[in-house]
Amino acid sequence: MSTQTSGPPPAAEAVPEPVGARGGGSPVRGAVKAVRRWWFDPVPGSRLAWVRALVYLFVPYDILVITQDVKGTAALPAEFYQPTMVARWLHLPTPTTGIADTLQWVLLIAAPLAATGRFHRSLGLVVAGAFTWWQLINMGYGKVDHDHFAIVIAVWVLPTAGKARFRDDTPSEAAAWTLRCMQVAAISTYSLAAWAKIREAGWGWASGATFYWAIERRGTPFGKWFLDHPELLRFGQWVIFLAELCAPVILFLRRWWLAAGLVFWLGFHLATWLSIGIHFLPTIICLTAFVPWEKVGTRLSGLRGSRRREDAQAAVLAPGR
Amino acid sequence: MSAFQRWWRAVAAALGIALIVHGSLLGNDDQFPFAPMSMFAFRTDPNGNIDSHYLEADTDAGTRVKVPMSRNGAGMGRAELEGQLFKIMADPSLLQNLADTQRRLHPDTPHYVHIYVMRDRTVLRDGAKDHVVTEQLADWKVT
Repeated sequence: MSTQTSGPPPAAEAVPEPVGARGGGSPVRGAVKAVRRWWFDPVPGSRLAWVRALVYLFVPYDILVITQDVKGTAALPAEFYQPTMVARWLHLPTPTTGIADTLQWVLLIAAPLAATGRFHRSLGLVVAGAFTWWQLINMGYGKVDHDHFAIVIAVWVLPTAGKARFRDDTPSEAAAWTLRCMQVAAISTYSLAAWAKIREAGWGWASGATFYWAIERRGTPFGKWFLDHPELLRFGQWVIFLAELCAPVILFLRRWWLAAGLVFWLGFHLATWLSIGIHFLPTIICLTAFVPWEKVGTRLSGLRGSRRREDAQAAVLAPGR
Repeated sequence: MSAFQRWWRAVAAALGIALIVHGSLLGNDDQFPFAPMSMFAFRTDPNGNIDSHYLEADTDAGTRVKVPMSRNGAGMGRAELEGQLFKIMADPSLLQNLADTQRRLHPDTPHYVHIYVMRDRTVLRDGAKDHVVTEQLADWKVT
């Protein structure tokens, strides 16, 4: 395992150019090449290590706070259970308190361990299986929430990302694919939400009073203020509807434009949380797959370096992307 | 990364995208996690109504209280109440369960002696509140 290297990372050149990829002949070949570069253009392994730690450390919070209801629902009589398709296919047993307790303990132990990156594949698969089962129970009592799609995808793609370490910036194609999957899953939560509105309510959704409905029924004191300004709510509906439609654009943005897009969605989630108490934290966690976390690592070692003079040179030379 | 490793990842990604797009185009909640993202996807008519249902109760201490809408209050949340509304209106004796649960969960607080199913109907005009009509939809005298 290499630690900080100086100059261009050597592994970048070691990535084999597949036969047929060079010499941009036909447009089809060019398109295939562009698609492959988009999914597999190597990213520093350290970036993946940070995202992986965030997701796996979020899992205990999710099951203890956000979806803690699972323990209560698992104790309900069996006739309330309405298993969803995947649960039926897998012949998962009807939830019991014992199953919920077991899943909870497995996740509470395995997820923080997986966050360290040790035994990333086996621990990751344990977390993926147990967390998905937990969510299938959560959605198995007549109400399906949509904030957990991206994180369910995330726990399944993370074990494929290979050995990634916080202090290892070696570029990795496997890490690139994993992060892309998380990004696509998170962003499709938005764009497909726009589609669901068109499918259910038609293009007129944005001219309705759905935000007013939400705040009237479950608004916080902050949210209720907007009831005196329904025109603001209608404007907000247009903004969100159009932003959801355009959400896939964020997949192709870079640097400050990308940052601006992420800040927009964070602002949206903050606003809905403040006004109607609904947050989308599991989706937000997957948005962190857009962040160049390796720069945080570089910055941290930079701080240490300025304290300890002998490290300063190494920090300056650390590669940043 | 070998060609095979790249291939199975490409196939997996294509499959995942196909599943979620299919779920959104044609599917329903049953296909979780590949279900339509239908949160707040319904449209509220700016000149329609917003209904909110809740329970009130007379207690043996002579007070009229709102029944807390949570699993810890009386074993039922608002979404569950609204999901079962027609059933309860057809057979208000189902409310007896709530009184029994409340007695079991909170033996020290005043007990419910009469439970009412209430509805606040906010009537909208041009997307803002015009007036609110409060109605009693059903009731049950606890035995």
